[in-house]
Amino acid sequence: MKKINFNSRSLFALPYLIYMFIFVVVPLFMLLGYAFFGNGNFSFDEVSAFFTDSSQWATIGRSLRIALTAALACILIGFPLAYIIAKIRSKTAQYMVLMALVAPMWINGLLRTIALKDLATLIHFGTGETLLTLGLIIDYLPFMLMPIYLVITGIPKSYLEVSADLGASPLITFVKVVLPLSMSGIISGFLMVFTPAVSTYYMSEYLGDQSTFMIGEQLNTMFTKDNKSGAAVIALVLLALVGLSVFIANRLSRIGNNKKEGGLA
Amino acid sequence: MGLTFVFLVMAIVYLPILLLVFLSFSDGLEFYVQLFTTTEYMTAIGNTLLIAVVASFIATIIATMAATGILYLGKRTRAITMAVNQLPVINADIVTSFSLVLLFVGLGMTNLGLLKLLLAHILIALPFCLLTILPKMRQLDANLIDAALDLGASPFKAFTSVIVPQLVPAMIQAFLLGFTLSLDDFVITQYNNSGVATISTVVYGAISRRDIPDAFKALTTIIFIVILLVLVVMNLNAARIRKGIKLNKKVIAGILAGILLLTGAGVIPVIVTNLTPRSLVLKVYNWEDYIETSLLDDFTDYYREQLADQGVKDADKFRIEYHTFTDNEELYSKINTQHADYDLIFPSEYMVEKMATEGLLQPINGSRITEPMDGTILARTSAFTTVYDQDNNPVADQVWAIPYMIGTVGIMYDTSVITKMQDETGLDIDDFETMLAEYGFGILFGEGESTKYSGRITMKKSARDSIGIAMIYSEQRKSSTHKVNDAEYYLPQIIDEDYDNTMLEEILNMDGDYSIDAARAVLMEQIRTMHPVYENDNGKKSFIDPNNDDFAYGLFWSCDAGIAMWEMDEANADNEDFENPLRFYAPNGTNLWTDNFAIPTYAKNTDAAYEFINFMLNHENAAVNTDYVGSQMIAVGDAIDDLKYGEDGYGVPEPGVIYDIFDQETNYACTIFPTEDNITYSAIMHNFDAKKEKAVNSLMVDVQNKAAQLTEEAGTSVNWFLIVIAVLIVATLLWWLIYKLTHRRPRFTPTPLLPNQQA
Repeated sequence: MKKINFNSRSLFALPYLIYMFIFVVVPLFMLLGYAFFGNGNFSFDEVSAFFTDSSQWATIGRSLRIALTAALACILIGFPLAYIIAKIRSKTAQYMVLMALVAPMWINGLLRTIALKDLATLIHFGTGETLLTLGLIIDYLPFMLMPIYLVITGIPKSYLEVSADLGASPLITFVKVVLPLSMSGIISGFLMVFTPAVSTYYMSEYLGDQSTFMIGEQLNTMFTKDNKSGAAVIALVLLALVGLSVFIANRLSRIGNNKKEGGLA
Repeated sequence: MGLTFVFLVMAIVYLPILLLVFLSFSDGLEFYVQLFTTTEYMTAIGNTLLIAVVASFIATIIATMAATGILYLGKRTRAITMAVNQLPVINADIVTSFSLVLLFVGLGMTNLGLLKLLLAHILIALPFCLLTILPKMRQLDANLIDAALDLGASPFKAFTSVIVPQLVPAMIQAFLLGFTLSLDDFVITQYNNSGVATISTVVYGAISRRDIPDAFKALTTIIFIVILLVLVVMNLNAARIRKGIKLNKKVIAGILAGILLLTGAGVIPVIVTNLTPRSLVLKVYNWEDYIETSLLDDFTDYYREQLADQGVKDADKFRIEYHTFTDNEELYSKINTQHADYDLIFPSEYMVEKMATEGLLQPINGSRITEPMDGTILARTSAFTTVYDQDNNPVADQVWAIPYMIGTVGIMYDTSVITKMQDETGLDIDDFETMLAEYGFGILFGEGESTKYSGRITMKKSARDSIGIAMIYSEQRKSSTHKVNDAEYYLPQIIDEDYDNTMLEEILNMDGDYSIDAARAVLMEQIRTMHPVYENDNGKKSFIDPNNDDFAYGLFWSCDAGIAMWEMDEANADNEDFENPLRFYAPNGTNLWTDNFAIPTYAKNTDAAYEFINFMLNHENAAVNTDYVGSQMIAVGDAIDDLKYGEDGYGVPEPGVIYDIFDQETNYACTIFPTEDNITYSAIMHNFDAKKEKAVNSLMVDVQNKAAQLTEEAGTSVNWFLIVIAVLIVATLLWWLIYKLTHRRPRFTPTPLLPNQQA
């Protein structure tokens, strides 16, 4: 009887588990398969061909640079923004501002990208890395805003009161209490912005120029030309980049949380 | 101060949208009428809403169930599950999309249509839904479900009457989040739609050739108004709550009902579409902007009458479903991997060969084509009507396609830019044109004095075109003068009497002694000497824009040059003194391309397809269409002759008359109707085997990587953001350092009080 009960409860997760297995886990193995068994036999050809080209490395470096810039800029804009919104007295007003900042996503991403390009053309602002970075910031800002906002509103008011009672100025309270406690939000926001930015292809195609050829664009080119094994290698490289950034981010947040002494964290 | 910042950010976010809102009224309410009367758009919107609502609904349900179940999984399994849940959240869209494509191909799930997109969009929403619901689930009393189960409730009952009611707010949040993400998505839809039109695909199809479709500017405005309405409702609702009137549920129900109603309105066309019997639908898949659309309506009327005469029931319900693609490979993957059931498609010559070889096309039944066609052109293009096997033996002597449009590849140049650059280059228009005539494609690669235009030329990202022309040039420069009319160059030697294009064809297709290495060498050298900009079909926009003097000349298809000239004329229709600054020149010995009528194996209404081909080849319709599209059709007849030679026509020089190809009017005419020499001394491209295809495409990727690297090193773009951010970060660190050095550290450690932040 007990056993059946146990099953029936965890059984609720079954549709989810099945779906995630088929649509997330299996495709990952298919990626590996295409990257290494593209010609039917196991071979490193695709992978080694990829890594031996110097201009290829330049493309990876460029993608990282552009994405990092966008993500850091999103933090610099998103954090104060989230902080200010969280400080608005009326909850409704908070939600309304958030809604207004997220709602443009109802208009398709591609459509907004082209609109930005049209706007830039109108004011004679050329395409290139600057416009591309701006586009990435505008498009992915909500992904930075939301996690930081959630974390900031989650900080108990009492912490701030304690800090003030102990004689800390608002600035010090901000630096020593609010900022460290927001770290997890900043880090997850960073990941949510960095990943789509590093792999973007339509944005770099429409907002960038010759010098902003990014790795996502390369994947897309290979995919549309039916070079599945080449595309799979790049997909794995992107996965590795994302994995690496998650690893670093986790490390960072662990350092932040475990530090014995006060300090910044 | 703080709020100013918020509004500033909001202004920047909304500025591009407001531009579209503003533009949507530039023709009165015309764009709105277009939006609501164009079936293609309404179907796309209907599909998008349907997918967003259903996918996020299903995702919400699955996620709620999962949240219930996951808490009862073993610790380890739960950790793994949560890690897997994070994957799609942080994984790059493009990687997710691509791996989904591999999955669907692997499972053989190709022609699932809407269902496939639905499955893919559930993946967009599901992980986020779980992340939204799980924290709320954790706050619930875990004993509740136990109690329900122990009291004899079935798991389903326990779920619906104990769990769900308490999670409703979180579920609504999750649903809205999924809905938003689904609407926003472009990448996953682009990779996984099997011919299902959504807002993403329609916009994508349109912008690669022109601009955002006007109707979608109207759509943006409507969504913008919806956003405003939602904000107003939020505010009103809050006001009522303040007054103590509990209205929450009603308002939420109202919003949900509104969404459902909107979806319903959008979905109706989808349902109607699927109700018409297939024999009364002609599904056409063409290049974007490649037909005079009024002809589609004319054909619909014409064919309805025909059907009525044949006594077909519901003849007046006949309609055309018209979709567009942007390149041959997109068409190929729709037919090959997704078995889309189009009745008529328009592949280019090499794609016809590829598809025919792979059994994706039906042979054309010659007896059903009743309209006459131009023999000269047919003779030049006949090579691909027979399919050869690997040993060059004809597999079947079949006709697989009928040419629709033909054109050449050549150089388009902007006389105004060349004149403006005269001080710098010392070349006037005549000098430039002499150089162009002498060296042909050579001026893209630095022949003559063309290096003076370094950095001001364009090449095509499309691999076959750039590489094919590089092959031709690599051959041309083997002669001692590097000129097109050099006696050592292959062209004049065979130009007399019976021109045989075998050699040119071998060069262009990298067959026999000619290898792609020649093209690689030429293109890599070109990047260093000429700094070309590789453009993706929208390069002609910068030639059309009178304020844009970036480019002097570039590699173009004759059809694109024709469109560019036409658009410039249109934009200056009021100005009588206007002389079109654009010219197009295709040297002899170029690539002749054709886009063709072909009927796929999976076609379901071939009768209508044949009728449509004949209708389009009718000389009167063909003349209208040629005039609109700006490239020549293969049709012949009085109307075509009038268009070519007539007084109101383009003024193509009559055969035998000596003419100046650089004269503006003649040049325009010869861009649309390739000269006889161009057609004769040209070769067509064939299908490449997998190895060569891959070599061609990876060469193009290498070229783009290299070009980007060199442009970057040249330091043309300064990343201001990077500089500002670096300065800010350095300043913060410095400030922090100084602060640390000057202040004592208070011993306050908030760690034990930390709440669970992972929520």
